[in-house]
Amino acid sequence: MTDGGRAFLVFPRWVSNPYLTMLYLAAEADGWNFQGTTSLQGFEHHAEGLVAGDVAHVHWTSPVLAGCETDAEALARLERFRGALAGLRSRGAHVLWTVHNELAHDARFPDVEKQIGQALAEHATVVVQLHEHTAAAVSTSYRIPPEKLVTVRHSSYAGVYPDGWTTEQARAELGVPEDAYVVGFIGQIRPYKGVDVLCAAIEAAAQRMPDLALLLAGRVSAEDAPLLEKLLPASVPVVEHLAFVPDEELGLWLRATDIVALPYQRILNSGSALLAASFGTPVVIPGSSTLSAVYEGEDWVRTYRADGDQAANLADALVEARTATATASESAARFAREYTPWAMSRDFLAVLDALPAAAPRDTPTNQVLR
Amino acid sequence: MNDEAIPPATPDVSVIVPVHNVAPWVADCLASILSDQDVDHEVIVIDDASTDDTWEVVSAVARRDPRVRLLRNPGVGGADARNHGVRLARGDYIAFADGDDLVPRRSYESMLTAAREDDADMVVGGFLKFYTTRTWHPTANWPAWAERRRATTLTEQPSLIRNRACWNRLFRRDFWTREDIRFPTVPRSNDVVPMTQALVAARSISVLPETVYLYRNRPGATSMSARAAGIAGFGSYLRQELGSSDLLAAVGDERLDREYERLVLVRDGWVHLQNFLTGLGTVEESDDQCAAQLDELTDLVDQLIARFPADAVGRLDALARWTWSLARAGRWTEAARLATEPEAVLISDTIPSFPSVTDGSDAPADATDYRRALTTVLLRLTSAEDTDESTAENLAAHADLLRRTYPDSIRHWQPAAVQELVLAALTGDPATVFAVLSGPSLAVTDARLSVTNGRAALSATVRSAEPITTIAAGAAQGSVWRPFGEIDLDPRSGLVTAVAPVSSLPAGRAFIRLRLGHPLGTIDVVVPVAVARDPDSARAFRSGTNRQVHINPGLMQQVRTVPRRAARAARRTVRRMLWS
Repeated sequence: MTDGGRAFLVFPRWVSNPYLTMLYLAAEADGWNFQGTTSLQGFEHHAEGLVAGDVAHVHWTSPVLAGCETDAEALARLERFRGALAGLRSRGAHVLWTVHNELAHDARFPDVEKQIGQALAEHATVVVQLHEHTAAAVSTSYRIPPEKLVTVRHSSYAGVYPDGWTTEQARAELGVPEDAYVVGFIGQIRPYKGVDVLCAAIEAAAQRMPDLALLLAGRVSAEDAPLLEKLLPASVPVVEHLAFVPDEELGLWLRATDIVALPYQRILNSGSALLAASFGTPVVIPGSSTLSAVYEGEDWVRTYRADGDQAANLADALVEARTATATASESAARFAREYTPWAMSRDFLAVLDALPAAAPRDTPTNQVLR
Repeated sequence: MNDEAIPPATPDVSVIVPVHNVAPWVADCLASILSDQDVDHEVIVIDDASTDDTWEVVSAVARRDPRVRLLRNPGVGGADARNHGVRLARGDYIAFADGDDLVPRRSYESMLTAAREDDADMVVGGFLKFYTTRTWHPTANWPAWAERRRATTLTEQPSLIRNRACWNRLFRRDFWTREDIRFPTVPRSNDVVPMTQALVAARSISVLPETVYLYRNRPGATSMSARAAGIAGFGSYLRQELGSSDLLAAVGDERLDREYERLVLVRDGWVHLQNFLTGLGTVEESDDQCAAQLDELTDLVDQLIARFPADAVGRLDALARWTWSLARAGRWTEAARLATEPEAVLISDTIPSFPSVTDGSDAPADATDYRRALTTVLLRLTSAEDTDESTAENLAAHADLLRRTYPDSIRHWQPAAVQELVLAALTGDPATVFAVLSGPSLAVTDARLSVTNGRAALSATVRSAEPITTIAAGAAQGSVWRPFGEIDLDPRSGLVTAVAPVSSLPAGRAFIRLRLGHPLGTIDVVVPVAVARDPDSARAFRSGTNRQVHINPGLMQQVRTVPRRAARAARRTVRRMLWS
């Protein structure tokens, strides 16, 4: 189990989501020495200390350009990042890259972001995707060499968070009407990135479901809070907690919920959907999203048409979902049990086991496709 | 699952797993025990009256894998379940696991190999604890686990006493039964006495630094009322600790006694005390039953502390010393307040008084103790998630107290966040204090020194740099201040860079400081630096203890201009002088 203590650098090592802790548990137990950073400077600094056989694992790439105001700054950051990656390869350290996001639709420096992805695809020994639809979804931005691609699914969060409530207990604690049909949104609340559609859908659906209730839990910025207040549906009870939900209380909100709405257009992977499933809660997502392809055929994932009148379509989906709540809930719980965090961490350890002793030192720079 | 597994007649290892309401975790637990272990083992699962699906989940595993036996606990509680499992075990060695935890691959193989190599009565390995977003690794820094230990004993490796969990071990079964080791049926801490017994009795202990167990930290939920559970639990812990103390006293080893003293007063015992006080709240004088139970706890605490040398509590840092003293005196409400609202206790119109360790009579807190305790408390406040308006008001109302406690000469040795908070309090304005408390705390991190072409480059990150208006950096040695130039701070990223000719820096031990201009005043902070690994940097700088850095400014450059052999000799001499 101790392999001589190889170093493992995580960038960015964000700690608000347990995904990374879950992913790395088996590797940490196996003797890999973990270090992490959230800034480009930190990445450069730590990367300098890695030697042959060590691993630098890059996840979300937003920190590379974070805070840049001009194209020149962005390009300078890109060069620094490329330099750090090249340095790692020259010392025989492995670069791993997990593709979490499609290129952001409103990215400030889209061309530079693409080049970041290309640099990673070029320098990585292994590129990890969370499902088989990733390469296609990102293909307009960069090309991932298929021989480098491995899939390590995002597990559920089964067993991670405290889960000590029945639906009745959770609703009593939150003041949610016991017999309501509760639609939930748990996570960071940005009014014009989907929550507006949800609120309008609730208003529309309420006419057909008089016992509808909305549950909103998550941080909202000071600027957005008044906007949110204006959007909230007037005709149904709304139970809100407009602040960060601590780990110990996630289960409380999710157990009180009949269905979680995730009205995001452009997300590649969804920890939120899996989090809901971990508490036996089905979800509803836009039919055009990559996620709808990933979860096609799953009873616990309902879709609505994202073109035309989105709010009306979502309202229809909520009404239809009502009739299948019990089946969907069981399906969600079963799905969550099938691939647990420990299983995911063991699969990730297998990826590390398969790495050669040192990364190949020649990078095919002349084969970069733009 | 391994379809071809057949139960070995006499397995090498029997793994005993008591389970109670662990349905969400037990499938993974058993999967981790059964796969990738490369030993012949049996798994004995004893269900202790589970009311969830635990029985069904384990039954399904047992149906597929004949190495698993599932039985109901004939007794009550985890201790009975483990004892029953030991009675049923057929393996030459036994191990324990809890149904909500995980066993890393090859753990049992490693422990079994070590046991055989060393003819060991017991093998102990490292372990990790994990919960949502964190892992922590207690054994990583404990001396006994620093390397593979062969055929050692508790007196040779007294730090082994720091770990009294039963699940990161392997025992020879005939050792266990010969010593008649059993888990007592008590509400809490039922492995303290049996593990102490095993450590004391073992003639040969193998220690493995690697991780052999993954403990899932779960915030507790109990069916008893929180307070009743707290009192019963803490009382149980104290009684078990007294039992452990008896066993260790019989060994009569001074190093072991000192380890044990710290285990109770600073580690395990302190954690139990803090947890108990946090759950206690205010004790109503009219609650006779509670008062009687607390009297019993007072007596147990007193008995336990009396086992240690008279000055043991006196040697603790102030907050721990005061808390133990209050507990020993039966002043539970005050102890609870100190544990849960230390800022309210320390920041008040009068200096707080606590029982003296010598004769138990009340004495006002000594000034140095008071300041150190207050710094600890203020630092915690700056990093706390929630901010209380009353805390801000209290701080602002006691500006004079803070001015007296942190004169300039003292303040600039405090962490940046504490300096910022103290400056806010000195304004006397609660809103200013609240803004500092609720905002992100100021900190200087990732500081690094390197050398290129005779120039020293300093870089660091100032977290929450937006309020900073001016900045200076320098090497400070006594009253000498040698500045860095070309200093730049990027307010968005917080990245600070500065350079100085290495020859301009003072030779010997110095502190690297940043002087930050802040709307509330100057924040002058020591910055612990990491030195870059290249040869030039390593020649010029070396990280020292207590945030100091050793600087070697100019001799190397002078030496380069003389013939090589003389230069090498000079370098050797200089190294001996500077690095000794």
